[in-house]
Amino acid sequence: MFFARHLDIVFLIYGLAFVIMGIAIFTQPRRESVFRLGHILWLLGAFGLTHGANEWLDMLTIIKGRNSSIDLIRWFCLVISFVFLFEFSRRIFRITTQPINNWKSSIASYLSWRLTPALAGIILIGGLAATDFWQTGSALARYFLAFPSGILIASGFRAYYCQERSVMESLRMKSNFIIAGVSFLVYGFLAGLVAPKGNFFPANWLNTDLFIQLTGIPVQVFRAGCAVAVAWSITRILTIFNWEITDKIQHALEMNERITQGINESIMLLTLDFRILWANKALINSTHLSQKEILGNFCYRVTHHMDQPCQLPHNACPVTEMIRAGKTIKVIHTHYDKEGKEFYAEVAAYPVYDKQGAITQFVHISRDVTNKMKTEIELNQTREQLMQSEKMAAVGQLAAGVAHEINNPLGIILGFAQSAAKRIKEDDPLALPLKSIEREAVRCSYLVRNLLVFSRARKNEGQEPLDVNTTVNSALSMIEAQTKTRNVELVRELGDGLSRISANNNQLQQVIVNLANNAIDAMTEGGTLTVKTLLSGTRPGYVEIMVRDTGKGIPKEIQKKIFEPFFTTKEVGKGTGLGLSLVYEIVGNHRGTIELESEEGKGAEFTIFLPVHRG
Amino acid sequence: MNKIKTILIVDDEQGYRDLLHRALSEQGYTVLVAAGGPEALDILKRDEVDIIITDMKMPKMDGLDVVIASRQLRPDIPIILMTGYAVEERVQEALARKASICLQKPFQMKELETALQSFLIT
Repeated sequence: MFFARHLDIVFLIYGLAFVIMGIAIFTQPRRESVFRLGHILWLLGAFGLTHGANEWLDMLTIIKGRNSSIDLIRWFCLVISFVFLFEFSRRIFRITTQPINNWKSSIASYLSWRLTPALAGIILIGGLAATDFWQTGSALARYFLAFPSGILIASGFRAYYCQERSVMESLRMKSNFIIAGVSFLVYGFLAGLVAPKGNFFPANWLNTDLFIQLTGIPVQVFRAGCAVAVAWSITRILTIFNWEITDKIQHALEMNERITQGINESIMLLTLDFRILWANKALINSTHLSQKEILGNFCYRVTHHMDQPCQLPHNACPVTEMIRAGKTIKVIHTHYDKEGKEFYAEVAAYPVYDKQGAITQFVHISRDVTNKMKTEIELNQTREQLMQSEKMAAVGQLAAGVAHEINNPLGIILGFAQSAAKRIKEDDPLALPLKSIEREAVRCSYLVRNLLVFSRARKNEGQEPLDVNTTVNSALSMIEAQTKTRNVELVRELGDGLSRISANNNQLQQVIVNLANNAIDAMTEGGTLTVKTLLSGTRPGYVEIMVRDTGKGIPKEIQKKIFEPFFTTKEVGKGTGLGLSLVYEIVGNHRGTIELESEEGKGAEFTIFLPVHRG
Repeated sequence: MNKIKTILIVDDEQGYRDLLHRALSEQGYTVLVAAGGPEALDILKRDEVDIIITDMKMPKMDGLDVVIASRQLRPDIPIILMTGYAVEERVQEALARKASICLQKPFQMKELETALQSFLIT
C-alpha cells in the first residue's frame, strides 16, 4: 500500500538506476579494449537510457496525469529499449558461445542478426493488427524481447565470466557478475512476463494485477529493485576497463623501462633547442650530474661541458646536420665521463615527427666506442710502423744492392787515381784533375764502406753479448779527434754495472758514430756533446744510450720525418740522408727503439733503448 | 820473412788485376795474376810466390776455397783477403785458417802497402 501511494518515487528510482547505468557506460572509455564485452556494452547503455526515460515518463504520468503524447513517447521508449536489450542479449550470448556442438551453440545459431529486426517487425504488425495497439504492442515487446533477454544475458554473463576467469578473479568481479546475471534473469521474468492486464493469453492471467494480489506489492517495485542491482553491478564491472587502461600504461612503462634502462647506449630526448626532456640510465651514469641537473639542461653542456652546440670543424652536431641535410649521420664525439675524463662516443640523432610531418624533438643516441677507437688508433699506428719499416727495409736493400755493384768499380777507380796522382808532378796540368779524382774517389769509398757495413746488418748476423760502455768508448774514440778540431766538448756519462746487451759491435759503433757526427754537424759554433749510458728506469729490462747536443735543434715538423730514407737537412753534397734511416733500422734489428726529443734552438737528444741480454 | 819478391793476385775482376799489377809493379814487386782459383793454383805450383792477395767473391772457387787449396800446397804462405764485407762467414773462416789479413774494399793503396809491410815485420 505504501508502495502504491508512492509509485512515483518507485518510478524515479527505477528510471534513475537505468539512466545512471547508461551514463556510466557511455562515459567509460572503452576504446581499444581487449574485452569483447566492451564492444557491445553500448547497447546496454542505450537500453538503460531509453528504458530509464520510459520509467520517468511513467512517473510523469502519475504526477501530471495521463497524456496521449506522453503515452506515445513512452510506448516508443519501451519498445526501443527492449530492442536494444534484446540485441545486447543476443550478442552476448553469441560471443560467449564456443563453436562446439552443444545445446548452446544450436540456440546461438538461431540468434542471427536478422532476428532482432524480425521480432521488432512482428511486434509492430501484431500491435497494428490488434484492437488495442498500445497494450498489445507493449505486451508483445515484453514477451518476445524482454523475457528472452533476461535468460540470454544471464547465461551470457556466466559464460563470459568463465571465459575471462583469470582476469575477472584477480579483479574480484565474481560477485558482480553473479548479481548482474541473476538480476537480469529476474528482471526478464518480471518485466518480460508480467504485463498489464490484457485479453489475450497469458496477459489475461499472468499480469500486474495478479502480482499485486499475490504479493501485495506492485511488480514495478521489484523491477526497480532489479534495476538498482543491475546498475550497481554493471557500474562495478565497468571498472575492468579502468584497470585495463592502467594495466596497459603500467605495461608500457615497464617495457620502456626495460628497454631503455637495460642498454649500454645513452639515449636522450631533446627539444629543438637542445634541451634534454628525458634521459635513460646509461646517459645519467655516463655523466657526473644527477638526473635533476640533467633534465632541462642543454645536451652540449651535459656531455661536452660546452656552452654552445657542437660545431664543425671539431664536432659535427648530428641534430644540426639532421635539420640541415635531412639525414641521420653518425659522428664520433669526445664526451666527458663521470670523472671528467674524455672518452669517444659515436652519436646519432633521430627525428621525432608530429602529425603534420614537422620535426618536434630528437632522439639522441650515443655509444661508447673508446675501446674501438683506441684499438683502431693502435692498429693504424702499427700499420704505419710496419709500412715504415718495410720502406726502410726496401731502401736498405736498394742501398746495399747499389753499394755492392759500385764496390769494385769504385775500388779500381780509386786505386788508379791514387796511383796516377802519386806519380804526377805538381806543375803538370793533369795534377789538378788527377788529385781531384783521387779526392772524390776517396770520399766515395767511405760512403760505400758505410753502406756495406749496414747492409750486412739486416741479416742479423754477428750479434753477441757485449758491454755497452766498451762499444760506446771505441765508437767515441773514432770521433774524438773531430770533436777537438770542431770546438766540441765531449762529455761521457757512462753508467756503472750495466747489464750486457746482445748486439753487433760494429753496427752499434756505427750507430753511435753516426749520431755523434750529426750532433757535431749541428753544433756549428761548437758546443757540448754528451753521451750517456744507463739502465732504463722508465723501461725495465732495457739499456739506454743517450746522445745529446747543444746545437740548433730539430723543428717539430721535421722530427717525424727525420728517420726517413733520403731525408736530409744538409746542403747538397754534404750528407746522404741515409745515416739516420739506417740507424733506425739497426736499432730495430736489435729489437730496440730510438726516440728523439728536441726543440728548435735548444739542441737535440737521441735516446736508444736496447733490450738487456738474457741467458 | 825477409822480403817479398813475388806477389800472386787472384781476382775475377779485370780492373782489379790491372790496378794491382800496375800499382805493385811500380813498387818493384814481381806481380803474377790469376783470374780465378784454378789458374792461381797452377801458378802456385809453377812459380815461387811469396804472398797471395785474393778476392773473396769469385765464381766457382771463392776466396776461402783458394785459401784452403793454397795451404795444401804451401802451408805457411801469407794470404791477404780482399772483400766488400768483413763480417761474413766465409771471411771469418778464412781468417781463422790464418789467412792473416782482411782488406775492406774499396781500400786505398796505402792500406795495401801497410798490409804488405806488416808481413815484413813478423
